[in-house]
Amino acid sequence: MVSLTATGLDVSYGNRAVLRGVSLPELRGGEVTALLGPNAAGKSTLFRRLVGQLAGPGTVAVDGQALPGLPPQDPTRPCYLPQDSSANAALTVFEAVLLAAKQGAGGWAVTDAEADDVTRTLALLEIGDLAGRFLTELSGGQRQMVGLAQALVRQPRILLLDEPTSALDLQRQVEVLHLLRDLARRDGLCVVVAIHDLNQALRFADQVVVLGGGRVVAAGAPASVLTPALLREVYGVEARIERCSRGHAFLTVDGSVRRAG
Amino acid sequence: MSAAVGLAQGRLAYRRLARRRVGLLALMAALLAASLVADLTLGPARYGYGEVVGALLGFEGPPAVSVVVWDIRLPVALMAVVVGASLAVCGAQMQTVLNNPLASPFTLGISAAAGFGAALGFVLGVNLLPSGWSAWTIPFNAFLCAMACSLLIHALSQRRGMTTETIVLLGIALVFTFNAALSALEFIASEQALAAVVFWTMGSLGRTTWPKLAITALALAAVWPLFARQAWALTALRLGEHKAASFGIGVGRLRLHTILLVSALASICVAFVGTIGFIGLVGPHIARMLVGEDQRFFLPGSALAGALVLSAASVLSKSILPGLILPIGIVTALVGVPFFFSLILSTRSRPW
Ligand SMILES: Nc1ncnc2c1ncn2[C@@H]1O[C@H](COP(=O)(O)OP(=O)(O)O)[C@@H](O)[C@H]1O
Ligand SMILES: [Mg+2]
Repeated sequence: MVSLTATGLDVSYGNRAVLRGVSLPELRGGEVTALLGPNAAGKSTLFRRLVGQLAGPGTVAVDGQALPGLPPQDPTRPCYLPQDSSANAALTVFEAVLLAAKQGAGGWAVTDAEADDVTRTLALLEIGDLAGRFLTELSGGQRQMVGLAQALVRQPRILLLDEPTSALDLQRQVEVLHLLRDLARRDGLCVVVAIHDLNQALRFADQVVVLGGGRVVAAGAPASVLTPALLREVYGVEARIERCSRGHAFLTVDGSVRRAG
Repeated sequence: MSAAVGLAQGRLAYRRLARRRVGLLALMAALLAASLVADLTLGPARYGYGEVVGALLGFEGPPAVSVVVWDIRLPVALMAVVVGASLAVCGAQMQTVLNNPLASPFTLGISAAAGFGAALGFVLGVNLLPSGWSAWTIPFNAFLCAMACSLLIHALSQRRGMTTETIVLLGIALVFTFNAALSALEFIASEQALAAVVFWTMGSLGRTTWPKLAITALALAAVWPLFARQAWALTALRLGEHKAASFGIGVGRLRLHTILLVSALASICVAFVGTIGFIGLVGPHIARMLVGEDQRFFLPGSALAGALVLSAASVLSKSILPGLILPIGIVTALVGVPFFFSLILSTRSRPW
């Protein structure tokens, strides 16, 4: 089973430190990890550091092998889906996903196998009907689904998704999160999802990592990490976890705390 | 619907799209060939299409036709094709790597710098070449200034914290700078030099010779395979730099290399033909609307669109006022703009 480890990551933009000594618990294949944290906590920065887009002290390793050693298109490299899906190129959805399958390299010709990978991925996400549409004609949620297809078509073993469900309707959110959990359980993918919806995290994640102020504030099983004290400290809300009549944990918010300072 | 049927359908739909694009490229190539022949028939003496094609293929015919077609008209007509293609390719790649629909050799100051360089020769008599090379003085000055402008942009864009928007802004600032410097030279110029400068900056293919054509064509032929090899990576840039980087593409390097190549090619073009601003902007937009932004189609599409617009402009420049050849830079805008407007207003996918 694949594993991703990160220790002592520091990242700064100019002289502003954004990540300070971030070490993650081991992220293993077969599990879904939710990366939590308020706006500007450094979630996207952490992802970009994990895939090597940003440099800095600390080590990131896949199966114990430090990342810079792997070539850019190596399939064991973590596959990162950036947060922004607003690109407006004159490309069809099929072409955009094909482009991801090619990863900016590969042969000039498009093989049947590559075309089939694209079709299969679109079908998996139930967006086959969008194949011939131009990116410019898509809604925000549709773009986000295309982004997911661009990540999945590469058949990665480690999937880092930056707020992949933020523009999706409720049904799509649930379907996508179900799909990600299936991919982890069935195919042994290691899935990390940055997400703002704590209820979805409670429902779908095997573990959560909470970032705050550039540090890991807490990590572990969702229901035990998301305590009222932590929610107050990190998110500035008065909230608690309840159990519904079917025994699922859910979060209920009583109000916002005016933070000191 | 079984899975196998779905896969076959997916392939089929994509192959059909690709075939339609190849068809459109072939159509543009055919139009270009027609425009090229029409260009050759026009001039102080009008020849029939048969005579021109006969002379091109080396058939027996009046020797005068053969001489005029081969020695006078062919280099100029081919220059329209090569320069049109080159400027459009430059514009296409600048728009791609700078992620800006307004980027072109013109908007980055390269044309303005060339104009200034040419004026240095006309007005101040700056001549960096040994005697005997006087025919090359002006293009050489223009090339040096255009290249200096490009390298300045290149150097500045390598500084930390430079975004694509800042690079475009810098380019626009350089346009104003070089235009002001050009005006200053014009202000002190003699009447004769002033006329030469003004005519040069209007852009003209009339100064073309076979060697100049060969240099321009070689430059295009040299950069083409470098772009073609990066086709997938350059296309991926259009998904945004974070997305492209997430595919493992070295975005910064790719951007710098592309800007450098494009600058050299554009500098050579404007050095020989002067300011032809519109092609670099409009060629890629036409291609984008017709064949999309997959560089395997977009690059040849831009080249063909640019070549076609400039060649058609060359035909018109000879036919609007009988006996007079209008400066090509003027005609390009007059032909291109209505065509461009109609395309913009009728197309459904509009990336920008
Ligand atoms: N390219 C950048 N340059 C400078 N600062 C940045 C850049 N990207 C992000 N930041 C800053 O880093 C901090 C963390 O940002 P980010 O990782 O995007 O947070 P999150 O994804 O958790 O919302 C923010 O304060 C943000 O302003
Ligand atoms: Mg973010």
